[in-house]
Amino acid sequence: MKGLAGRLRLHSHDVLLVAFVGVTLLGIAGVLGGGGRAVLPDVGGSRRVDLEALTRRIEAGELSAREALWYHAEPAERDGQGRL
Amino acid sequence: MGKVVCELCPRRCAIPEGGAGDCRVRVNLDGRLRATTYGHPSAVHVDPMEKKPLYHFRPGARVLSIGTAGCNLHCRHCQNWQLSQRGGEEMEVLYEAPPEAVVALAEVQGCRAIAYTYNDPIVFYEYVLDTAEQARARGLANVLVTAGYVNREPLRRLCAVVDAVNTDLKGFDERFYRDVCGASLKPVLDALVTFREEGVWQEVTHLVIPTVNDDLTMIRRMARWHHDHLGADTPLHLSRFQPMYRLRNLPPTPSEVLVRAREEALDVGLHHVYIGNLFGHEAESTHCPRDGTLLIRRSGFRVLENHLTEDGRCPVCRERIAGVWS
Ligand SMILES: [Zn+2]
Repeated sequence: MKGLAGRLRLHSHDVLLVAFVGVTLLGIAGVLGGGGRAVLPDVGGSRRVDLEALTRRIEAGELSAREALWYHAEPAERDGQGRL
Repeated sequence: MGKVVCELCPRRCAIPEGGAGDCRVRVNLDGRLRATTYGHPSAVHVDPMEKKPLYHFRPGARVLSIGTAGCNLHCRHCQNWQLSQRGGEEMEVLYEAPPEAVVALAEVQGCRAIAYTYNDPIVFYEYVLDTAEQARARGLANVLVTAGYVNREPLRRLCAVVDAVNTDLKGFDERFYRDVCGASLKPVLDALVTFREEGVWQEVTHLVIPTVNDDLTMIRRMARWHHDHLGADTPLHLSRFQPMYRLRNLPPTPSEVLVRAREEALDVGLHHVYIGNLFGHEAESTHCPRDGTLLIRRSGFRVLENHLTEDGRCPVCRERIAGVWS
């Protein structure tokens, strides 16, 4: 009687198939998980901005650098040595 | 230069130097938070008051309506996503319109009010505040159309110059707000109450989206909260969904769903429940809550008949109808 390992021995094309199925499942999980991440956190979010375009349009008078109300500056974070 | 923390809305974005808040338009430049769309709207139109929708505030008045880029919500059904889901630097159209120019334009156009709308006016807060102060000084009314996702103290300050608001109550559970709008419900409920406490005339809109937020038991719970916290006289607009943005796979709301939702809201005791975006339906018109007399007949955004007395009463039973009528 063949051992379990012998019966389950995989040929190279089986390995490819398993790998393909695995990658597909990971992809599906990524899409589903990404749907969740697409929802922004309720607090603390920020976004990158095209700073060059923004600066150019502020300088051209198309946008404003008016200071906003309702914000505060965060204290600078200390580095490993306790320096600011 | 360090991070700044925006305290305007419940997100409280911690924004690094050179970054923007979640709304895309409040940007940290040189360690200071900048309101980049101040004085630069991307949408300017003249609309009737009914289009906001406000049915109990100066019926038929022309309203100069402005909106900018950016928003602090990210609704999957947003009808103005080309405006709301972009930063100012991404806009093709940016008008130059400082507060005094907006007020002057409103007067030239024969408008009796200015509406801050299209995207959420919370993200152009400073521009609203300054424009509204000048508008009020010239005898114009100020109208907000908002999702109410804002912190209490900034909102209280804004309320001092706002005459009327239509607040979206987009759903009635936290999960809906998180998954569909990228926001949360509790601050919105707080804002609805704040508007009431501050004496701003308020109407509420609930967009009924098939399979997403059209559950009748939820609508009943929402209407009961509305009744208990905002009062029976605060109008509710149940609005018909049209396939839009990331929810284009869903059908428009069937009219029978809107009718049944309206019955639930009337059943818990609300006096004025309208159906919106379903033109020609009788639930566009205002009736006396006491004797059912037709008071204002509307079609689309037009006022066809207005039978209210000059002091805002039913001409038959003299019931005082809640609203701002003059
Ligand atoms: Zn009456």
